[in-house]
Amino acid sequence: MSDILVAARPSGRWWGAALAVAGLAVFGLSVTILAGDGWTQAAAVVAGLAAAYLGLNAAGRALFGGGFDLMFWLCAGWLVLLVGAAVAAPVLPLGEHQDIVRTLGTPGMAVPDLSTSHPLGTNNFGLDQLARVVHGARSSLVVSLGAVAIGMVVGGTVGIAAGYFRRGADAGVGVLTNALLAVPPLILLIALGTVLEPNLRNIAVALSLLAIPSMIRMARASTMAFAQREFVVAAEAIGASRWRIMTRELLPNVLLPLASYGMVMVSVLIVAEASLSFLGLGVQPPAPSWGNMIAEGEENDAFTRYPHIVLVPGITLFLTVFAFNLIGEKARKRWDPRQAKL
Amino acid sequence: MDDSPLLTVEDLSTEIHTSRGPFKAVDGVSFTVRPGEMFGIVGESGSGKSVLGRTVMGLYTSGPTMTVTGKVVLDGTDVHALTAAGRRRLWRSDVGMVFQDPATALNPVKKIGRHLTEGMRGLSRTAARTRAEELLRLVGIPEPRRRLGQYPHELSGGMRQRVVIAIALAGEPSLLIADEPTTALDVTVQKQILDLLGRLQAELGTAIVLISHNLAVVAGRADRVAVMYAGRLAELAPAAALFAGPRHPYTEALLASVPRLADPPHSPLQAIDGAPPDMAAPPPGCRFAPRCRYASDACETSPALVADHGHAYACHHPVSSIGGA
Amino acid sequence: MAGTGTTHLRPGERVLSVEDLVVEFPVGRGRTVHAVSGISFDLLDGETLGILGESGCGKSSAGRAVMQLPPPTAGSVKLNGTELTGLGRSALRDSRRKMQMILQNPVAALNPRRKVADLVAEGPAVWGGKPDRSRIEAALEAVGLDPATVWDRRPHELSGGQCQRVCIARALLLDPRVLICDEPVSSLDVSVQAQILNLLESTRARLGLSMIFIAHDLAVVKNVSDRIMVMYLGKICEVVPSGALAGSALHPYTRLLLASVPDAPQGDAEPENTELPSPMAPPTGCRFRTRCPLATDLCAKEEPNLRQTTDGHHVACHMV
Repeated sequence: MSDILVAARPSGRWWGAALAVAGLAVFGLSVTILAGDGWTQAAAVVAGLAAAYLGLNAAGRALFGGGFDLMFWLCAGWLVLLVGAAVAAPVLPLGEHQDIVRTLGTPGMAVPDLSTSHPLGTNNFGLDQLARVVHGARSSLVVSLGAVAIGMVVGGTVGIAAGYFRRGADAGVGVLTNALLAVPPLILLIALGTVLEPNLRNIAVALSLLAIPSMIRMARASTMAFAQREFVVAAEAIGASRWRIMTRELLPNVLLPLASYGMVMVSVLIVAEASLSFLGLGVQPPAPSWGNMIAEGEENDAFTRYPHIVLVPGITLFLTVFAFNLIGEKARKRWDPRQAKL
Repeated sequence: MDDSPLLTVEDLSTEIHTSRGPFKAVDGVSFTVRPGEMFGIVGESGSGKSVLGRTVMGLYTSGPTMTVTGKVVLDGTDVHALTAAGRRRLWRSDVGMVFQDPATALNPVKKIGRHLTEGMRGLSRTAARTRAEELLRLVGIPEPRRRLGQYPHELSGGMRQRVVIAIALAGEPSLLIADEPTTALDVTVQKQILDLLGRLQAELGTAIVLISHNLAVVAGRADRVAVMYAGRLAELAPAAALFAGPRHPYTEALLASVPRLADPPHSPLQAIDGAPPDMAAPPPGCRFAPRCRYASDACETSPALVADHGHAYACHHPVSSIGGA
Repeated sequence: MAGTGTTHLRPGERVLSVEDLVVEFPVGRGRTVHAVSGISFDLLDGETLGILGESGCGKSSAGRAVMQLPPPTAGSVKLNGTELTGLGRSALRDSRRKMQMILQNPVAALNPRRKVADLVAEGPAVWGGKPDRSRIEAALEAVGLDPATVWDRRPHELSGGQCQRVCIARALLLDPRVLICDEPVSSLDVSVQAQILNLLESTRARLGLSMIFIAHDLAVVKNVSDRIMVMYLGKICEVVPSGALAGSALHPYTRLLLASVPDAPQGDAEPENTELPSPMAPPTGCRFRTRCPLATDLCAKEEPNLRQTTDGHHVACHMV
């Protein structure tokens, strides 16, 4: 049997690689040659990408074993690209993203065209869509990652304490989290948005209110699962103090499930931030954020005539949320204390 | 007793595919079980005894997670040549299984009566209930009629295990496979379940394969005993011969390492060094060689199972030939 | 006193003396599990006391209550004459060093995210002094582990037997006087159990430790113990010198345990009553009477007290 497995490997690798190359070729040809031929082009692009995906996945499995998951690596690649671009945005050779005085000579509402200096087109002020998406990623990521970080620190601390001490502390925290979860999130954000000045720090703090209750619950549940384990009893038997047990025994074990949950939470908060900006309560134009870029599609019926105004930030948002969710979900499965054997 | 075997297992291997690569949980095991015989399989955790039981039963078959090679013939039927429907028919009538944990083997939301009558075909409702009552009486459950209306959680662990045995007996099987049937039970209950299995074997003529990690459980009950180590058969012999004069060094060491009630307190035990091998990377040749006090260069090749007057062992240095023990 | 008596307690110098220990757990809806109901025992210097019983008899709860993990509901636990119940948190932590515990599942007893060297050094580190490398190496060698091999390993990379050795090394590094072993070999492979039992025995002899050994396996308990205390449903049935367990045990429950050893001769196939009464509503009088072949009306009315039959042998039963 093992002979068959060994024999299967190289053939799977070559077959997969061939399929991937063929798929990419179809994709490339359909983009360049069939340009402009609506449905045919779309169908060829999708078919090419699907073939390339299946081929690469098969080749990857043959090379790296059955656990290889191409979707995971594509998502990770997208996030690395996005974060890299966002960090390096000021030094990248991008078009103008917010100063409309400098784009007076640029055509507005330019359609995406990879061969021009505005590959993803421009908006009605002639601002470059690619530059705006990248700079928008800066605010989206800063806000959502910041909010998750606040949520993890506050929620993790409170959750571990509640899960370890139980009794009074737990009851109090339970009432607090239930109360926070009972407030409709959008109403809470709108209320905060009208009171607070809409800068990145305040938006992050406001969004962290959405993350904290579920972070507390996650940390508390993990802590309770681990506090039952014998190694905590063993540490108590050695004479470890409660502080030491929480920081040395519980925290390292709770951190992993909490961090993987944080990944999923990032995607929720990116959407929340976009919703807030869409409503005009988040990042203020002309500074770009994915939410207010999508909102531009509303004005003057722009979306029906120039769909790229909405599609460019919309697809970016979709891909990012999808990637965070998929990676977070995978990490959660790996680290969930209820499933972990050891 | 009829001499033609009820169950024939021939060169059976079960290879399990894991993310760390495939490993052979059961590696080339052959044995036969005669009708009405109590056949003991003894091994530690990871020895492959449970996988063997489930493969024999047809619960484990070749698929994406494992590969089964070799042959299991039960009463003339090749278990692994059957279709899924054929295997279900087999489980309904020819072979029953008793699992380790009676708490999880029963569905908590189904009454005992439904558990028992579900598998019965072609019987009227009242006939099925009468039959279920008979089965409960057979396994020594007091007030069987009342028990039919109860849920599993209303019964103690020992009673639940009796119900599991009754379910396994519903199709009047010729073979019962009991995988660690007493491990999850208390000491005082364990003995009663074992005695019950012995009584069923004697009264109904059901052949029983009794799988356990505990030598004492099969001692005095099994007619023949197979000792497994790291996926392979180390020794297979009539129980009396095995316990009186083990030929495989592993069996010998295992018997010597267990404390006995008859010994005085604080008597030192003869421990076996090391731990059972990691099955993902088992030692070449004899799997027990790294822990064996008789091991030599010859042990780098796998010893074949050889029979000596019905006492089979797989060892280059069988115990009595060295004059040890 | 309606307990199970104290005639088996001995006068004079004792490392540990436990009197009238009661452990109860609330389980909601106003119900209480009576895990341990007023037991007493003592431990001499260098002695091993075996506690024998089935699951639910309260043997583990008793062991943990001695460690004050959690503290008992009532009763007194004296270690070298110091009363432990009611001690403040820091004094209690200090006293725990003198008693160490070996748990049933050694893999679970070790934090999965830490390395062997850190795990063994944890005891002294808790008390402010991280031990130097040579001390940790010596502790690992003393329990039969090769320091160079296991130093950087994590618990899941070790076998169950090796994990139990790490637990023992960690406990010993605190220099305890009393070792409480709660089913230390029952989760280990049969071929590894003897290694750990021999290690515990040689360690005890070498360091002159006193030991409480809790288990359900008669032969194992007999092998390591000097005296054996048999428990049933939170009470003591019998205290017997371990050499006399197999031959002269008197209590009907101890005799049932002896008859239940799997390789004992096949008994009466008809099941006797094996239903363990609920620990939330234990029977009146003698708790074993619902399963006892000798039970009379007296057993339902009056709880038997421990009384001495021969030297060092005490039994709590009206009928023997």
